[in-house]
Amino acid sequence: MKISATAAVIFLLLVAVTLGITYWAGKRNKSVSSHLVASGHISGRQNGVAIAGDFISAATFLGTTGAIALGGFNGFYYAVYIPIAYVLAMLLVAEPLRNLGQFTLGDVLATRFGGLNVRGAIATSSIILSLIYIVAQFVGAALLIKLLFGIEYWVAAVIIGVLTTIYTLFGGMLATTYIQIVKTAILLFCGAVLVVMVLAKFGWNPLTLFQKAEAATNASNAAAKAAGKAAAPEALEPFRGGALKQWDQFSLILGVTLGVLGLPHVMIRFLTVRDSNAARTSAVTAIWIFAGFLIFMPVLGYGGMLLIEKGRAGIPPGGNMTVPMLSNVLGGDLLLSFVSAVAFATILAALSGLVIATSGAVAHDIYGKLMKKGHVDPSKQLFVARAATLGAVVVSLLIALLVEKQNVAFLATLAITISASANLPALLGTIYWRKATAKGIFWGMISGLLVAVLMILFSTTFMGDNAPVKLTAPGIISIPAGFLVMWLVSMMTQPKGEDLAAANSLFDRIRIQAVTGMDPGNPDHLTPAQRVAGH
Amino acid sequence: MPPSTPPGEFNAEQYRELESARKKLVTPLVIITAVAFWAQQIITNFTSWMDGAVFSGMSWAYLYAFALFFLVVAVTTYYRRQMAVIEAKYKPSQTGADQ
Repeated sequence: MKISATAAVIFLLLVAVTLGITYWAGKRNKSVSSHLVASGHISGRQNGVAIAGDFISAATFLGTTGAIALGGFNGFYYAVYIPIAYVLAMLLVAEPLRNLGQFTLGDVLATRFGGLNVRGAIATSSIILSLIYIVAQFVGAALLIKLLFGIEYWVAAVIIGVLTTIYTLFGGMLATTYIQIVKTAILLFCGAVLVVMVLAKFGWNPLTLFQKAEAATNASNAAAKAAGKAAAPEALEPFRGGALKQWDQFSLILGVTLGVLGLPHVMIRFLTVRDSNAARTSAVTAIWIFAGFLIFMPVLGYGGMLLIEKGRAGIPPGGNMTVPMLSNVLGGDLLLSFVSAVAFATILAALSGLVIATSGAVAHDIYGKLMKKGHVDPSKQLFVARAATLGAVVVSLLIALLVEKQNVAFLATLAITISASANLPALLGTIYWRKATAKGIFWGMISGLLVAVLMILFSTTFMGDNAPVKLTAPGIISIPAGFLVMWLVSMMTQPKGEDLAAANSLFDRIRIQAVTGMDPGNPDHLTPAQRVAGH
Repeated sequence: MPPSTPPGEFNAEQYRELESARKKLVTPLVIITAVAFWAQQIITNFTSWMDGAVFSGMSWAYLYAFALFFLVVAVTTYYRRQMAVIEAKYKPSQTGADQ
């Protein structure tokens, strides 16, 4: 599918708007604080819209719609988990994170475990998973742009790389956030237009659409049965393809749901607001946007299934082209161009957030705290943050160019599973578990990370049908492994005597800070907003 | 590892009440959300209990999934309102650094 001059005009307009935002933000992006967390100046509502934008990515908008069109009800699993994951994040992580953190997840762990190992481990885990995520986004994005605009893969990858670099290098977190907000608004508008146009074709009644989708899959399955072929998933009922597939599906949803709570690029957004109240507002705003938007995904999925020529058979494998093809059917070249430009903006905005999260872990945790032991010149740290920004894009771009022909769909699953298996046990253990020790947190993270990576390497994804690991989503094993090792090592390394009293005292102090934002052990304590602004 | 010092102007008793009130609010909401979601995953993925139609055009599986969207809105609304009440009731006294 190639699109016209209309697409080029809309695309250039959107790029111009994002570059304008970057220019405006660039004039304000003068410190490490502004580069990494927008100096805590983002309001709760704005941050909520940006958080929603981070997760309503091209994979969600295009991928989930396609999954419903091709996989029926099972595709809807990929929409339902998102608001649930954010409710759990709001209740368990968002406010303590705002009250304890400064720039990165490592800050939260360092409030309780002063040694460098714990900070180093979560920084390493965050950098690895963010880079994996960036590569996954890069490859998916370049393939999508190649398909939508009819340009070469490497040209698409380079355009994405250059624009992402400009946004993040000059505009920092401020530009990234406002670009994400603008993109989210346009994406929601685009989704609403498509939903209205689909419903108009079915008498404004979603049930009519659902009935016709069910009738269509029943008819095609009856024909397949008559021809001796396997039945495709029905539209409205769960499809269960045997025990292994069911466990794999469950493991995948377990990993992605819990993974949200430890994803650095998502969680550092809670550090861009001034206090825990604003963090709460951010989470609530994002959850309401998710609920309002994702509940309509079946309308688009079934609309695609019924309105695209030849139905399911006319949609290319993977389903990512369902929304663009549906737009073409409903609104011709103009709507297709608009949707393609929005998909492009979505990719750029999501990539920018990931790059900022990576540069934060490098500049703040690795350079500032591990290498310089906290004695760091702010201007040098800003330079390192910008160098890390550039480095993250260049490395990911090079990998993306090398793996064009490989199937890298597993990378996104791996990244989010690492988050659930390594980062989440560490965060929850630090914030809530009195008996957690530095060694327990450290080895829990290492175990979760290793089990997730090894399981993927020894799975059918890499080794084919003879692989020793049959699951393609490792979460169901690697997440309990991370928590179990954290518990076991913590219990084996419990402090005694004066050390125990000191550990208990520190935990009490951390709890007070996590709940109130005030550190009772520090007479010169600063509120979260003052900590960030004063940097 | 430095021992904690008395929390200055911070009222320790008030803090304990605040944390207890938060815990009483957050724990049931986490349990309700997690149980509702994982029950949906397990029931639809591993059993045929939710197969079949509630009425024409609506399966039990979809009805449950849509209900989860309303659940998250209800949970967030309730949490936000209750937290506002709790924070107003247990507002800690300000320290110098906060002013």
